[in-house]
Amino acid sequence: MSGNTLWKCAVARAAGLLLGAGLCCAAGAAVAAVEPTVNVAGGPPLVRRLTESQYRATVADIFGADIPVVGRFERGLRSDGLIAVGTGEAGLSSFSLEQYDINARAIAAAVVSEAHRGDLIPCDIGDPAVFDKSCADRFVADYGRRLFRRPLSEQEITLYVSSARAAQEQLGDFYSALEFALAGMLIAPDFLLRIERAVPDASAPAGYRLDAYSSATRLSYFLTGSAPDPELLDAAERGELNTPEGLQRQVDRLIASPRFELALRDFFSDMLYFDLFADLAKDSVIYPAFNSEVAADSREQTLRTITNLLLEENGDYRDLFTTRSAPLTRSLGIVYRMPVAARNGWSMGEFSAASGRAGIQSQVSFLALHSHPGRSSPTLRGKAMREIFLCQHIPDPPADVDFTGINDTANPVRPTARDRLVAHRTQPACQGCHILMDPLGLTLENFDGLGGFRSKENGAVIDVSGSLDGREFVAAEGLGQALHDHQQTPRCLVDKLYRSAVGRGIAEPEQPFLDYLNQSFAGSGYRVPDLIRTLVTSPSFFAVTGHSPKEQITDARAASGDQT
Amino acid sequence: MSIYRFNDLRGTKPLFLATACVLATALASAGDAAAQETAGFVVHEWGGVKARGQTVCPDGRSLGYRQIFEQSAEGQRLEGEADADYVKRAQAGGNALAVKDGKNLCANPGLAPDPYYRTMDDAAVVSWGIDLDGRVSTRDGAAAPGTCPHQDFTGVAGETGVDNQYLRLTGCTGNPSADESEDETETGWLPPPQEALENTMLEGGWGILIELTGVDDFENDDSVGVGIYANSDPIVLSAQREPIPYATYAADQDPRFRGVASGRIVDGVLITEPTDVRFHWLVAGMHLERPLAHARIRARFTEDGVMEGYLAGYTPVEALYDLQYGFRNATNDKGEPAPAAMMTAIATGAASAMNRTCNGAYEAMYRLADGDPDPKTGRCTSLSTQYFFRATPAFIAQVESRGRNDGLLEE
Repeated sequence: MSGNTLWKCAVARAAGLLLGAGLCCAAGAAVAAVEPTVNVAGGPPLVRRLTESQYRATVADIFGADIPVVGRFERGLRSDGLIAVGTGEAGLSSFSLEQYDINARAIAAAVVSEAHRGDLIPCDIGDPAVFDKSCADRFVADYGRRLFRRPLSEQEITLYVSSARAAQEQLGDFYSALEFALAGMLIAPDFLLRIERAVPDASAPAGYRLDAYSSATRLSYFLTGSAPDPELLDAAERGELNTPEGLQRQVDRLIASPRFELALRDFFSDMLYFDLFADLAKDSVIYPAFNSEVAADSREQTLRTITNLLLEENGDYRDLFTTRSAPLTRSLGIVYRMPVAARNGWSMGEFSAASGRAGIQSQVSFLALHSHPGRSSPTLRGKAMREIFLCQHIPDPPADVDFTGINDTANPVRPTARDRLVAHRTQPACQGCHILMDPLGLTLENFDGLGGFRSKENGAVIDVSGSLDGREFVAAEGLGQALHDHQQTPRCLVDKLYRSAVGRGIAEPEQPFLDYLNQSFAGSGYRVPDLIRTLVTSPSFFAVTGHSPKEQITDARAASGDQT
Repeated sequence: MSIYRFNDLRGTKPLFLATACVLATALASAGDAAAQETAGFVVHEWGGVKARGQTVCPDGRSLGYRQIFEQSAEGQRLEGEADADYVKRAQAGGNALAVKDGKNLCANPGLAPDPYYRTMDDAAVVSWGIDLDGRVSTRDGAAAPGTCPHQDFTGVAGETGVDNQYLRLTGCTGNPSADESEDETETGWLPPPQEALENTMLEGGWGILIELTGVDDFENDDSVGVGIYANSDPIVLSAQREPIPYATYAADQDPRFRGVASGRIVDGVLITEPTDVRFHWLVAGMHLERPLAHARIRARFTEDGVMEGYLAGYTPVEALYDLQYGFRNATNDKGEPAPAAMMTAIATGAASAMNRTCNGAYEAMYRLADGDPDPKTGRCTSLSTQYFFRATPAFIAQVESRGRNDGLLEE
């Protein structure tokens, strides 16, 4: 069922034409997913910090890919499994502000540099010693609209143009004046933070929705990983995002753009904890094949596997856990023990049935990331699978856990990780959680701490039997099928996609909408692009409570007794 | 045989590639029991076989041009002559001896004999290697068909008939301390490694790939195919500078650098029939070729999947002279002739550094040559040569391998 049809259904229901709406929806979907309307509640509008990826993409889109972003970025805060959610919770440290300032100055300097000014300054400048107010007005208004993702008020334009004039008076150069104004905009909260604003929703009495520009921003960062382009901002200005047809047109355009794949890669990088690659280290004596190239390629391999299946093949999301597709580089071929003819770049291969590999959970990125530097870890792998793919939370271990037996990998009495974990699990404090993690992780023990295949550990044959919530299986292939068939697997993706889009946890009133998305996802054969289209063309995607960020801060202060 | 198809090979030709594998033990760990017919290896350790223990050179060792000058009356150090001045004068004197009738002797080695060149003629010298001509030969005895009379070595395990005239050519040149440092008690399957030779290989200057096909049993198999190719890719090394197994290497697609032979495995030892092979060679940025005619492999397989043994055959005299002494016919990176002045300068300098002369070596080569007799003159034109090697499991791709910066060259 198209998003447009969904919208019409939703509008029909809102108008009280429930019978007609029901027929409409039933006719358009294989599984009659009925979108709730009375619970289009949304959550509070948020203030979300741009991620590094979003910051870089935004700068590149507005000014060009050759404009340098030289500063460093603070590590993202992962909240409830997603950095995207953490963007609405993290504060700004002094280090971050310092780095943002470095970036702002470098970007502004590059934009007005001789190499770029001809393309990036939207007016002919006669004598740079003379302040050109009309040009400054246009420069600030045009770039301010792109950077702040909304038109600047007259007061804001005056503020930045005044700062440019002050710079001109001090520096005697109009380019320096523009540079100064631009650096100011690049360090402004309105650029660094996605500030959502709510307006009353005409179609939902007493309800609120994001205003047009906030809607465009949420839509754009979710579908493209970058700021709204001029066409989307124009559509927002004309109010087209408030109409099903106008919204559908923009969604179609953005999903068809190459940016959509980049946004999907950003989402899965977040979901799969790929930020941990920054810390990934392996003992080079134990794993001589590991190097930074293997690390980077393994990350890319999984992302390519995902986009190939979900976008190019429009495949079933659950097949990610059983696919034998293997994009390879020569560096990865060493770890997988597979030939790779191309000296540079990527080749598409396929794991054989005898390889013991199936699914992205048997690729090096997952296996290496969720292991120790010198050994595999069934526990870390099991924990990661529960949290990443099933949205289940495993508590951290107690502080006084005795890891001596686990780390004693040379003990001939307990040659395999299973032997050591069995001994470890006898401790009552450990048993409760390990029983959730280990039966999954042990099925991947055919892969060492880097992800290379092995059949034995310390000379003992590795037992790769395990279970997932009552289903027993053997090895990575069985694990992949169990994950594929687990009812929570697609629900977890829906949950994470929605939370990533709105940047917060799911409020109780939103659950019917999540149920609807799950039904719709199943009805589409678990096609992710269809799920995303359904999500972003729904009124629920833009629905918010009436609390503005300012009101939230006031509420929070009041709750904490802060009288300032 | 399992077939692996590649798509989207930017810069390479489409191909079907046999999935390589290693020995049964190593293969089992790879979890791919279906692909046991092809095994690829990349040579990571390589060297020319030397004599075991202290070398025997009763007539002394060869001299380089500068050493010959220093032994002459004119080359004696003058009273009060400063070190720097004497070094400079000796160098100039040596260089002058490398010229005959205005021509450099390294570029024209046949112009003059060298009475100071010594070869390792002792019949009692023990060395590593294999029998190439199927006969225990003596200097004064009858030669096997297709060979010339020569003195065989006795092997380190007491076996007879080891052919290695290359060792007789080089055994009394160079730095004697290097030979004496070898362990006299060494009787292993292979001689000690030679770091200098390996460095140029590990740095990507040249390389060798060996591919076994149709292997049913690595202990005993009466028929296996053997491909011996020049390697087109740098060896993948770990941080510890060890070769990493299971990397993929492209075999040189030039037929001149591809040798194919039949072979068999007997009690875990691979024995091949003769084939002509040719490898790349790199000296000071100059590209050369190392041919080996009638080359045979005799190698065994270790538990960790490594193949180790000997690649032995006959090196044509002229080619051997070019790649090791005179560097004639060397080319640059673009395949153009290397500058003549560069070739002669490096050849002359190397001769003095290695305590030998170009013309002395050239003369000795033909005197020692024991293979490929000229049909007209009967004079042999190649020297039996024994190389040892270790090779790690690898995948071999039959593609044109291209460098990351090839696009720049095409612009």
